[in-house]
Amino acid sequence: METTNRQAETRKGNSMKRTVLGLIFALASSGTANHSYAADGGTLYFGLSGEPSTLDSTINAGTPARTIRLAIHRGLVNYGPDGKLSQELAQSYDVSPDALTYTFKLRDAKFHDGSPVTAQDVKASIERITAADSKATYRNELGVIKSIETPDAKTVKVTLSKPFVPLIHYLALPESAIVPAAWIKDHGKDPNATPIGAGPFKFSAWERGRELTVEKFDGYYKKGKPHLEDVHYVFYADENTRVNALKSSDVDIIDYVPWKDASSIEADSNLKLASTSGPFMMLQFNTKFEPFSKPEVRQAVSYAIDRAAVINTAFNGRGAPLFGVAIPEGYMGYSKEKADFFKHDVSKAKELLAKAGYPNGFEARLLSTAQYGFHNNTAVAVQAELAKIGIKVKLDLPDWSGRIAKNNAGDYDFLVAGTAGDIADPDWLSNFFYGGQQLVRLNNSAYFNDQIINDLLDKGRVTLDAAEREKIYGQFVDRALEQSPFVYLMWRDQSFGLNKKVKGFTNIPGFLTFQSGFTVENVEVE
Amino acid sequence: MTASIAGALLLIGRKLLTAFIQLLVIATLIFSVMYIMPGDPVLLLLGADSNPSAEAVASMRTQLGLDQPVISQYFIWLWKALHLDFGVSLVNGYPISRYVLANLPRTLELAFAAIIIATLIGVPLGIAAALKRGSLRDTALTSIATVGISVPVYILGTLLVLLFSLKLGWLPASGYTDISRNVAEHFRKLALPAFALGFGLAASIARMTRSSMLEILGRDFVRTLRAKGMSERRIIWQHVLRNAAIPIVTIIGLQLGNLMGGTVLVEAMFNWPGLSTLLVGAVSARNYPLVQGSMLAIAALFILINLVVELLYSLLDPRIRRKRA
Repeated sequence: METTNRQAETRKGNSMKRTVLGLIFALASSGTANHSYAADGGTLYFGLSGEPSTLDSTINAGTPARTIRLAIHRGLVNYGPDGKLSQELAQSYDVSPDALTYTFKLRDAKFHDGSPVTAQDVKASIERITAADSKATYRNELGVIKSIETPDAKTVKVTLSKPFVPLIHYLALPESAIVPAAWIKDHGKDPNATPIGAGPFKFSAWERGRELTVEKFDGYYKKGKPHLEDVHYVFYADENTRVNALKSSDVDIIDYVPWKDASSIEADSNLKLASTSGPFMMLQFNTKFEPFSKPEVRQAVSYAIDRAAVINTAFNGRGAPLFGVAIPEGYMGYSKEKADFFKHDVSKAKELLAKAGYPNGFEARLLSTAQYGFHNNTAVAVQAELAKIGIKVKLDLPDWSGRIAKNNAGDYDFLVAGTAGDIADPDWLSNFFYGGQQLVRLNNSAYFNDQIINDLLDKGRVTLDAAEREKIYGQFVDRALEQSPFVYLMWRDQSFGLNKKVKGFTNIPGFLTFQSGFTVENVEVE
Repeated sequence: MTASIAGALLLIGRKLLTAFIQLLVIATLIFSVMYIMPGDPVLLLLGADSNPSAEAVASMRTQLGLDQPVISQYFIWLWKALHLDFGVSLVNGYPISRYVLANLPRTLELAFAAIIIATLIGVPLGIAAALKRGSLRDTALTSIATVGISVPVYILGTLLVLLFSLKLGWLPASGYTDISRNVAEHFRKLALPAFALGFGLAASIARMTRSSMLEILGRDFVRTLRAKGMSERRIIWQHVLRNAAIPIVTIIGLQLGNLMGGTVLVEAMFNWPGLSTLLVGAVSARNYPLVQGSMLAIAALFILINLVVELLYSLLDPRIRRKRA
């Protein structure tokens, strides 16, 4: 359901588990939740919104896959529960003054096969991503790495071909996990190989179409973690089934709570809702389609849409209007006054439209998908709002797969997108705004290529000084608002539903909500 | 004697040939539909957000054999399918046959459980209604049966979950537990989907039982038996029901095939990991080989069940065999 983070988005038979199962059986039968578990041990049933297509650690195959991989793998760094970078397999790192060399000191950690995590493993893992034939999602970003040296078993020296300030953020992504060099050699090309990582849980079993199980890794480098004996990730593609599974205690936690069900989960005394705002909805334009080639027209669209209509129609009121560029508060580039650059103003919208030469409006095709209610309903709300300024919108609602294909082919006048940035560094904007060689991509407004924006984004990537960077992204936001290649609609609430007996799970705030699977290492069930 | 065996064999042979042709037609349809549908598996596979380069897309296409002309892809696929090789999943290289073999028994189990539930409910209700024709009981049962046939399975399923899982907390709302791990849990999770799937059929069986019973009850031999002084209980159980059974059995057999269609909704609603769940997931991912493999498996199952029922039916009733041969 996410175009960025969520593309296209077994029980073991030992006696311990039978006991747990028995407890759950009893729990389901009695309908009460009066059971207490020891602080450590226990099983977590995690209902996921889909089955991963692959567990290949270098490919972003959507949130369910990430959630599972964040139990199995760790990187040099990761995003922690507070959304800040957390040093994981790297005990520390230094950046040279010219920002061209990163030196990582590794901590004493072990992979699930018992072998130590060495500099060789780090080198092999990163080179697997940057290899010429690699299909890694972040190959382009990490392609800036020129060479990797391993002076000793615990030191890794990474040299870049040019300064690239956001590097450490890209290394914190789940797709930059460190896996054993020997595993890569033997299984690197096998999509069905049993994964081995250095994370808190080791892969146990995958029953296709049903569930994937991981079990506690006793050799995890964080003392006393994880607390759970095992985690069952159960796949529930249907959102109503997923919610019912939580309500009837079939599972303890679910991802992607549908907005319509949020209030009933809040009202349930056994359940709680963990929400954050971070993902956003926006309109993306084909800038070759004539009216949308003009910035005034795109601005007019922004003024014309009552954000409350979208929030209420598609999200049951669970979201916040967005009248600027979607930069979360606290992220670089955010400023309070520019956050509300636009407002809902129909006469201003008409005025801009007339100025651009369309006093009577025009017709346009809006691409969305019928497969997901919130995408569909956002499109319906936008259609109704734009009718008020004379833009007659024809909806194009194929299934998700068809929508992705049209998006990638540039086959749209404008489209509804729901997404978030990948990283907490402002370079996340490049993926959306940069023009460059490939002008039709999933996440950019087709054919949009603004030299000023490209230059600012290039400069932001190589500037080390934080204050200087802040200024660059300030200028970027000004230009982005003026050009408005995207019209941002709203921040939407993104929620997990939890049984109250689950402790320690965090919905990581901001864009990083889709990486919350990391915090399963802290989870305990009472 | 020999002539009748030869006739039976000829009949079986003809039916098998028809089944094979049906399968071939279905296979061709399945193959074409997947290519008419919009959406590109390569882009989904490469991770739609990774902005794959044109070379990466082209190399993936070659790797998957999707760069060849559709016609040659079709014949390669058909040739392999004839050898029960349905290829591997586009998404992860996992063999399709393993997917199908894992999920097929679960769908069959669900369908059989539904049939059993439907029979256990439908036949006694039908008898009860027939014996008191025109009474309040008959009207009530007939009305319930009419409602049962008309209520869509997804509404019934939702109501069942609401009542038995969310309100009463007696049964799990969804899911599947392998029977080898926990027998009781397995059947607890089977109960609601099987009931949801079987309820509509129970209603048709009840109506069929009722009308079939009524027809037999009106026959002369029943009057003769009554005049002979045979007990009503013996008349009903030994004579009427036995004669009424043939159309009821036929209905049950033929409905087994139709139930396969109902499993699409029921499996999705209860997260039952059967063939339909497999199929729906594969369609969303444009996982062509998996769609083709699972649809073919469903179609083959449907044809096979109907074939067996028809053969059994004609073997049971010599008149049909003779007429067709």
